[in-house]
Amino acid sequence: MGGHMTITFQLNGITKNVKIRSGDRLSTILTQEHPPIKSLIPDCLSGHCGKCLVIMDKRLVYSCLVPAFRARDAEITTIEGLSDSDDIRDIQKGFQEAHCHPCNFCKNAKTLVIWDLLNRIALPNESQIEESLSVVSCSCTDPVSLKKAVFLAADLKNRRKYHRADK
Amino acid sequence: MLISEIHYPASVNDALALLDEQPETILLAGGTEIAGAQVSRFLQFPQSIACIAKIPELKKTTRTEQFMEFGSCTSLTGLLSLGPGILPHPLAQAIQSIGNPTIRNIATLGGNLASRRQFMDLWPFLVCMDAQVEIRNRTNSHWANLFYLADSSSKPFFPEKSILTRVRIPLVEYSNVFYRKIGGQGFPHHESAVFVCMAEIQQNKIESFRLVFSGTRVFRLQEVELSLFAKKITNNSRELAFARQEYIREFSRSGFLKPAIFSSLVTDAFETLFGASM
Amino acid sequence: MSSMKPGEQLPILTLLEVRDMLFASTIRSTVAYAKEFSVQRSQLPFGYRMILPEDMVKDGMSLEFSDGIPLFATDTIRYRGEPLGLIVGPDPVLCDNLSLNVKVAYRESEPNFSWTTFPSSRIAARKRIRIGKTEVSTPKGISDQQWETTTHWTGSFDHEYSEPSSALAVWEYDKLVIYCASQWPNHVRSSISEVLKVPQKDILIRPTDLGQSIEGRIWFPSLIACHAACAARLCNKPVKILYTRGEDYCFAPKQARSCISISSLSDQQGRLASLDIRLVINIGAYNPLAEELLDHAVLSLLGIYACPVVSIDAFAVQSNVIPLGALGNLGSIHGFFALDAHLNHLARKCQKSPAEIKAINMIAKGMTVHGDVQVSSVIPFSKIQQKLEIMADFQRKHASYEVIRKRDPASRKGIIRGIAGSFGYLTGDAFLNIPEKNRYSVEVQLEKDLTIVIKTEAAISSENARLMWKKTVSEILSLPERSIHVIQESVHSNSRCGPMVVSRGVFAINKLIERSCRALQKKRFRETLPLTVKSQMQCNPSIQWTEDGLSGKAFDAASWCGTIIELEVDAITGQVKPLTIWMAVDAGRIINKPVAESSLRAQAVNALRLCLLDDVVPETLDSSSYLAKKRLPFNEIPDIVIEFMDSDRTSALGIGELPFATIPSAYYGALSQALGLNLPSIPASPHDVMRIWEAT
Repeated sequence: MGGHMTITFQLNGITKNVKIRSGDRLSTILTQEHPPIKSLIPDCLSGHCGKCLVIMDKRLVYSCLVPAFRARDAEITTIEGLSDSDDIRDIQKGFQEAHCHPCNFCKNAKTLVIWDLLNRIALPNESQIEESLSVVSCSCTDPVSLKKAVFLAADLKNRRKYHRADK
Repeated sequence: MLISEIHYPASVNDALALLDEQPETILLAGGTEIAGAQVSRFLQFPQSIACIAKIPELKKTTRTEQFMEFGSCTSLTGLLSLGPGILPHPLAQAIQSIGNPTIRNIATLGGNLASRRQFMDLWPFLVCMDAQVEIRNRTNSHWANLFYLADSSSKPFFPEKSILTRVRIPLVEYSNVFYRKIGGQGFPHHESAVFVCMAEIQQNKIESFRLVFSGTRVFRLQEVELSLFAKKITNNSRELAFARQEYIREFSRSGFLKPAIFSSLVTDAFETLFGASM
Repeated sequence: MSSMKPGEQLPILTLLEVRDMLFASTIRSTVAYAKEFSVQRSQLPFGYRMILPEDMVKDGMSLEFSDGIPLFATDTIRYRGEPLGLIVGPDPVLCDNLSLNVKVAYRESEPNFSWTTFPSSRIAARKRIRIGKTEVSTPKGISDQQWETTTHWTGSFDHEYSEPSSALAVWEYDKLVIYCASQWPNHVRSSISEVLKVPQKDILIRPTDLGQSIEGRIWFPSLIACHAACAARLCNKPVKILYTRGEDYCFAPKQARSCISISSLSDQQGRLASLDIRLVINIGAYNPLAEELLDHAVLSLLGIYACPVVSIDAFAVQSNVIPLGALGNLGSIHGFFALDAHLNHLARKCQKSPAEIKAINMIAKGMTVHGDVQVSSVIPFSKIQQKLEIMADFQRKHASYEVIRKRDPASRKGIIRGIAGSFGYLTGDAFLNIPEKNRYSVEVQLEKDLTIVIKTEAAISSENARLMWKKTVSEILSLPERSIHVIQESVHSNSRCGPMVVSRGVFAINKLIERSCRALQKKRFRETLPLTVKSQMQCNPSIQWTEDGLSGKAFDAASWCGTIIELEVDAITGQVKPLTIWMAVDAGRIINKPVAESSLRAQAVNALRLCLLDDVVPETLDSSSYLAKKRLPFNEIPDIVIEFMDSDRTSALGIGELPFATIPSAYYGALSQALGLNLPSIPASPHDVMRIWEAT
């Protein structure tokens, strides 16, 4: 099938030249990349489940709603690009301590959402957390433990940032 | 499976030249409307698409004492990031009710105002605030009241071979605002609508009044708005009662959504804004 | 032949890829009912192939599997979207496009969408219960005028599973390996064996992550797996079928709709003397679990209220829409909701509170009810009721909202509130009418390094289940939870594990794990490691259907739940917003309290979705209805307060489906109070609310 064009973008710090078709979604391109982005699951294709979330040009976006051609010259970051960071470890610890166990389908998405939130707001309040978490619609976890996980992650991050002792 | 031609104009002039050559070209900034309406693995676009998201002129923000000006490709998150106290409060509230933070990260102001399908959430707000839009085509550019983007049959309208480049919002803080969204959260559909009513009241007198109800069509009665100018708010005000009845009567004639809903909205709005005088 | 190692996660089918893999898209019918049709073969691009039923027959395959489920439509089309064939090729996008453009000629007939009135030819299953004297003689003191009749509807509902329907079939040497997410992997294997006419020992089912299943992935994954397996055989390459979410929404099974008419005769106090119930469930084109659905719906109608004379006529009726089946609680939701709604209506008539009417009619320990069912345990209704009333400040709020509503019934301004409660239960008595459906097995191995590996072929649908099992092992063997691993095995043996339905499966496995761990404990210090203990059991229901109703012992192993919901309604838009949900639960021994609470809350949100969101109309599902589908965003989830009651019972009992037993009824009651009238159905969208208001 013809109609391919090549676009260039940054993916987790690496420059990628990718052949795309006009109607390809960014989520499709990322999962077909080499190596494929495994943290991302193209699912609802309508911008609500959140399993395809990526950071594009420093903003959290549903990659299924982004036509691939729109990603030309963009900077895209996925969980793979952040996985070695202390921030992600704080979030994982927050999940553990809150007895919150997101399923394998949404864990990466929820982690990325929380990472993005704590990147923007050091100490989010409950309604900011609820608003942020509304971008992922998986109902595997109960809302109370999920919010608790975010509070715990925020606390861990701030303690680490300001070199405060653990509780 | 239609394969589209994708263009990346570097400036507004390039985009206009393209529109001139290929009038069927669709401009895409955030793309939420077009992509959000499709569920297949492959997105179907018209034959020619111009991706204008990164044109610098369309992302500028300027501010004077009287107004703020935004490039049409400013994202909704970008608007909110100006912070409280800069963006008029009702507008900030309206923006926050759109989608969720992730949608707002890519959805743009221009996309919200220039939709051909229906009037989106910000449209009635900005009409009430007397916002102006700059429409440019190959030969000229002009500023017009945002209400210009509604045709004679009250449906969304956008001139051909033109681009909405800037939006100018007066920095007037309305003290009395009534706002309701119909049709639930989520992507706007044929039964979605937004009701906005704003009034500036000084010393018990109505300094300005606006009421706009929009969805797939718009309903607004400018004569009634003018008729309330400088009217005093008294107990059992005849003018207010008349205005309310006029709205309800004209709305039932318009055939736009259920009269009962509008009637409740208008009554609620008047009671909220004008209190016991209703 | 374990597919996984300890600590490894189940793969996600969407992301699974194998070399040379092809994709298959389904060719679907565009009409709801046709007695004849023909699919036109067309020229396809190189590398793409159309597979039709005749190709399968030529290859010696069967076109039906267990319970007569058709793989593809062959002579009759029974619903819009019914699979007619497949397009297989390397690009899923092109496959989708080609499948949509296949030309099909139909001899269309008028579809049967109506299901409340029906000819006997459309009855897929029926049940008739007659308890007590069948001649309904009016008891002393009650006149015929005191018959009260209500009719209630439950709508169809779509649960958004963690992944759209999918399967991957690949030949690995001499075995056909199927990757799929199913609550009943054994059913997948036996179905493929029937269709491909291949011995079961040559088929290996490798489980993929099931996510949240809620009873909708019992038999349908077998159909998709059969499609993939047929395509893999004919094309001689691995084939993956992956529905898009929109396709799944339109064509995968939804919750069955029901219409329940309840007529009751009661005395002045509201004590039930006679119940006459007619239940009709619309199961769409077909459903292999029609009988089970009916059993559970009827059981929930008999419920926990004593009535000397009960007559139930229940029908599962076919219609020309997609298969409709079970969702939460395997059909019980219909009965719980309708019975509770009827009792609320009775309460209004008798000018009593719903709680009083329920208390008057509640069964009690020592009674014999529903024919010959011995109630051998205490029903903790009043204990739970009292607890809930304190938690929710129920009496004060209920009275206030009643006063406000009665003061000005016609006034609908601003925000209107309502509050109501319900009481329900969950037993492990899932009726599945083939013995092998009730069988479970587990293997527990204590390794030399003192790690425990639990292996089961039963589908594990949640992390909470694993955590609970780990806690059980940890308590018995005094080992840390991090050294305990749970593996869902590939299905390859003859263990014939049943489906994991309701919480029954989770707790059956838990019992087996307990048994195995106790056996290990005895051997642990006497025999050398590693030690392996295998356990299996067959879960037979403690009650049986008889000619006169039910017999056996009931409610011994029931968990109980009371729920109160407070909500508000926007008088302008009809939008309903639940404010708080309170739940008091008596579920015996709670193994892991945080996990149990978390599980209940998550399921409460799912049960709430059922009530709040739009009725799915199976006759007209398409991509625009998918896009317009309402969702419950995180920031609109109400507070959910849960308390576990102290219990003398030492066994751990299922709790996962308790929200489905109580939340719809409580929601319905609260909304009815707020609106001042009885709603006929759930879900009640803002549209429905406004329509009902306008009609009054």
